[in-house]
Amino acid sequence: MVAVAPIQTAPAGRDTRPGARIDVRNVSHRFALRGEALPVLDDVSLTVEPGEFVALLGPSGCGKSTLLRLVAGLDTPVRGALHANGEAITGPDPSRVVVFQDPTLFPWRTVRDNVGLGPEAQRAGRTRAGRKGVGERVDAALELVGLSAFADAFPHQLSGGMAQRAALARALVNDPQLLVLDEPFGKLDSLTRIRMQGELVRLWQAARFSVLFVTHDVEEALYVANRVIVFSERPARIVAEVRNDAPYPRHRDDPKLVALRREVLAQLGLTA
Amino acid sequence: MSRILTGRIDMSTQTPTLELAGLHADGELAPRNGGKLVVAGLATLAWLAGAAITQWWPSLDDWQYTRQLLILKLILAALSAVIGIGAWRANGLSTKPGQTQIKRPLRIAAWLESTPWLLALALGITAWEVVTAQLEWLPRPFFAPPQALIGVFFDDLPRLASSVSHSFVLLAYGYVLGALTGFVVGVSIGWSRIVGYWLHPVLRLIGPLPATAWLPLAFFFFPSSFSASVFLIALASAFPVAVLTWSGVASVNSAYYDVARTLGARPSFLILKVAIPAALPSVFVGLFMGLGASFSVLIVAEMMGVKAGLGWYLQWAQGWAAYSNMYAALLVMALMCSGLITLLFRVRDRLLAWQKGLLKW
Repeated sequence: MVAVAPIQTAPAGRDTRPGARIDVRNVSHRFALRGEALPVLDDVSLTVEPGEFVALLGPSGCGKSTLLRLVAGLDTPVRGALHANGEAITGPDPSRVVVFQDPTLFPWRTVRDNVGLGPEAQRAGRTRAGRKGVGERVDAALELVGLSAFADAFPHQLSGGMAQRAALARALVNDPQLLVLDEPFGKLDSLTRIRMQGELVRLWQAARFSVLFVTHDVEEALYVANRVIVFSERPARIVAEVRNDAPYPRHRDDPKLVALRREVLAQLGLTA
Repeated sequence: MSRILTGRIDMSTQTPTLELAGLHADGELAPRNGGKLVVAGLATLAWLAGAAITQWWPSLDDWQYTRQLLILKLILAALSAVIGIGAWRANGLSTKPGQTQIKRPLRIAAWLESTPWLLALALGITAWEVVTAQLEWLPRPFFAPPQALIGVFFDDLPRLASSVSHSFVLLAYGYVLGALTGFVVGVSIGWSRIVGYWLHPVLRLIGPLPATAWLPLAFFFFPSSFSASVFLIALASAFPVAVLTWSGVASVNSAYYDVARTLGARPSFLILKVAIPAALPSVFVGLFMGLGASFSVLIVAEMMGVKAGLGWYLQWAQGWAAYSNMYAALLVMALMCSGLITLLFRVRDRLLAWQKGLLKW
């Protein structure tokens, strides 16, 4: 986890810009719950610049994760439009990879085979050269998250932090333009969470993909992101945007971050 | 059928406890082994006593193969003695003072575990022999002494062997066909809404019907009794496999699909590499239940129409009032069924080695 390098240049034919630009325009979404419409997103518009690290902050259950599913292409919005690099998002694409709150590693696959899931699903390893390339990319991703020694372990043998690292490697191996993270460290113990936040920032600085990071932890959002977008209670609306220009690596007790933290908490209606 | 299901569930849920128990026993080997050594000695004595009874207490009738029974008892006496001596020597090594504890060879420990059974068998078989051969307390043609069973295995071996092979071939055709069909049907119902719409009601109506109910029709419709029986066995095993495969596929964590889809997976990948592996534990429950069901249909089909196999052998032996042949056939049948179930367990343990608690290092 010390040496950080981009895993591999993007395969030919793919957009080679390091970070995707994401446009969310007037998106509203609702769920049908026992026949009743339950609004979850209310006219949300936001833009992620290429290479930007944007945190979506809001109370639990406000609809941030729904927005992520829309960006990932797993669901389509009731109203509004989403674009990635100017193209409408119509379905999932490996250039926009999601890391969920649960690692959701496949328990029947070893760590190595879990990390290799993306290339396998995209049929990248069908030729001998392709297989070799995939193998190298998987090894590099495992190296990057410090799991090389556990490549042949099964998921149930990993700790929570290791499993989440494996999930991160599974995303990074696809050389994504956008990393979509849905409270990825929410279930980790606080020490592991702090370490993983630092590692994520280093990975992002090296590879320069764009990041959409959902969290309900103000401190975490301010520690990792360029920009923090604050959401209201459900149905989620954007209530504030806080730009955070503090240089990386950041320190949690930086007075600037502390001041921003107070500001953000005030936006959420909390005066702590 | 249901007993096999619960048996399987017990296996999977109790494995960790069993392992714990094993570790526990390992920790306090010495005190328990004293008891096991005594049991080994008793088993040796019991087999020898049984051999003495066979040798010197004449039966009321002249049974052939009494000598073979005697030899068998002496062999088992020798086996018990060897286990006892081996364990005793290993024990002596590990408890010698001033010497570091040498771990008892695991194999001897496993053999030592079986000594209570050796003792019980010695007592049971001798008692059986005494009440049937020496005293004839049990009515004659219906209860055969152990030497009569040995006689069947010696005299009627070709017929028994060919019955086993016929049964096995019939079962293999029917079960493999049924399991494959059930698996494909289960996956399609679990995966496709349209297939589910059409197949689910059919499955609900036809599935619970005992396959043997089709017997008269099947023997009428199919060109041979063999193909009819293959159909019946396939029908019996397909139903549980289909239902449990379907349930396995339907209960796959939808987050797995989300992950695979964001990584660029096509529908075929979602079925073959996500749904099916995730459903496999449930599929195996269905395979166990199907195997149990297929045994009963096999025997009924062989009794009713097929002119070969163990079911037919039973029927044939009954016709000749050859009760010892029936006991021998039942024993062979039990060994075959239990062997096949064990085989399926082995396959499952290999395929599902990733499951927590099942993993053996």
